[in-house]
Amino acid sequence: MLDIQIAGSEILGGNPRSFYAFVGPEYGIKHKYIDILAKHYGKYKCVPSVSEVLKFLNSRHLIPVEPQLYVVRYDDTFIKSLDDSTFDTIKNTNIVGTIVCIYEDSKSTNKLEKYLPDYTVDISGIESRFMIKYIHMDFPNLPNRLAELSVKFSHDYYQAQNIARCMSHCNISDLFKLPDTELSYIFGVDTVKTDDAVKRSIASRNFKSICSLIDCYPSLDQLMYVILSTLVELEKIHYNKYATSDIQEYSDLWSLEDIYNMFMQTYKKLQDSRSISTDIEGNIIYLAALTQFKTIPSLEAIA
Amino acid sequence: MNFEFQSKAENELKNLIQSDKHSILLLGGQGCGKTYLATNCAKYIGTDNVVCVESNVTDLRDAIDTSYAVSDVVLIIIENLDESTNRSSYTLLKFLEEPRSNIYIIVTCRNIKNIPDTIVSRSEVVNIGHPTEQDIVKYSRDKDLVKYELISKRSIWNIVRSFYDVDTLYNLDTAKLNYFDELSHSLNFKDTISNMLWSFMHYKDNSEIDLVLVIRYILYSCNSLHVKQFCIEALKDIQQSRISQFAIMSKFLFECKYGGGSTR
Repeated sequence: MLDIQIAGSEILGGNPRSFYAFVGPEYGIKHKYIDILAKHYGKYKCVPSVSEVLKFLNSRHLIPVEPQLYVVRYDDTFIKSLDDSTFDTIKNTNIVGTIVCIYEDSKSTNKLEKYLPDYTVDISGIESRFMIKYIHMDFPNLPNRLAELSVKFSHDYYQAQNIARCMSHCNISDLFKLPDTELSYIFGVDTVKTDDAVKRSIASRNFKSICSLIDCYPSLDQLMYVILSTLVELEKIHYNKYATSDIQEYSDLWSLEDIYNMFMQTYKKLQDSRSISTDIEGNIIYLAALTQFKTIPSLEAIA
Repeated sequence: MNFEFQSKAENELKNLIQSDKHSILLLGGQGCGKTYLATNCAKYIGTDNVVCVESNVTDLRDAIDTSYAVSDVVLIIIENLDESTNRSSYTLLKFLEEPRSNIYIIVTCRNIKNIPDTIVSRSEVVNIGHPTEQDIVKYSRDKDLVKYELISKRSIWNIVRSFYDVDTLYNLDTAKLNYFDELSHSLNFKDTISNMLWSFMHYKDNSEIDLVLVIRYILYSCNSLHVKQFCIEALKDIQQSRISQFAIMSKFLFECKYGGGSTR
């Protein structure tokens, strides 16, 4: 596997390779590198498949092809076609510019690591100091303290970038005067400090509140478990109206049938999240949407 | 101790080694003797250099690097690869791509579906199978005759299918064994889910119960086809997925209480 620091140095230093395969979940950094490469070449093209790019580059051109960046996203055909000859094919192609392929699932990652280790970069998460450096590159006028906070409040670069972007649109001097706790509140970091807040959002069937958890809650996987335990608690309250519970006031919003159906739906999404290419965020939004039905639909009704 | 069900697997292993097969996948349930049989293969290979490692990336790399450094014949046994991460499998795959003639690898696993196809296709698969009833009785009596005489009369003994099950039951004290005798009287699934979660997942002394044991016991004890089906699904979830036991048990109880037909 090509080390991310080496790849980063090549890209930032204006000396990129002809081919990269970006794997891993850090969406923000992948696009950071793509932006840098796009600026380096001045020309940027999204292409549906690697084979299309290679065919184009291998064919004859009357006018010489200018170097540019080619971006290919989630080309499953390329993954399926990977074999021992792929490395030589890429090496022997006169790639004018750089081809960047993007993948996220582990199956693609494993195959790429096996057949194209020299080109595959795992972007699973980078150290805070690099994230801060990139924030400074994107937002040169943002003071260091705010750049550091944007990284501290986030669990990935994409989120940090969004927070930094919001900050950059504000009056920087006013923002700078606020204490860290106030800033964390403004950017929703402490909004969901405990699982209790999550339980309330679920129990109250508040769509907006549940969706806001997606950006704030540290682990979307853990969020699904909290939904399940909330439903278990709602079921307990249903049989004992005097049970001590933070969500007692919302028990009338849930019939037993609702609780059962919501549990099954959530469990199904949790199972689905164990498969390779699943959108956990989308699953949470789906579950949030279910709470808006007067009666939560059963799995059979949806199928 | 030689058992009937292991003899066939042992012969297969011997034949594969004598046919110079260097990568073997040994498949079998928990406690069926995979590591024991794998270790025995050293005598067919003709080596005392046996390395037994857990299937994490660090130990795997260390074992492979060490074996690369020697010219003697080495047997590496990698335990429970199906419970490891993809990175461990990939570390092994790199090695299988370029095998060394002095190194034999035996990988053990319980669930072949959790092993990448690329490893299965590069290995010879030997399935140990399950012990017969006679094997289990022989093992149990040889291990502890007194305990066998006491525990084999209890209803919990009906779920014993492997040596691991025998070991598990032998480690339970009388109070815990009594728990299962009493459990069969409370399978009406009428209590709240949270109460049932506690009672099905904890003994009376509040220590945790092996969830697989409980569900298998319910599968045996309950007459309801719906409940049996839910038990099978729960066992499948435990075996195949990485969902917490709390979630699996909650789902099982929700289904038994609200999802099926009659509960007994």
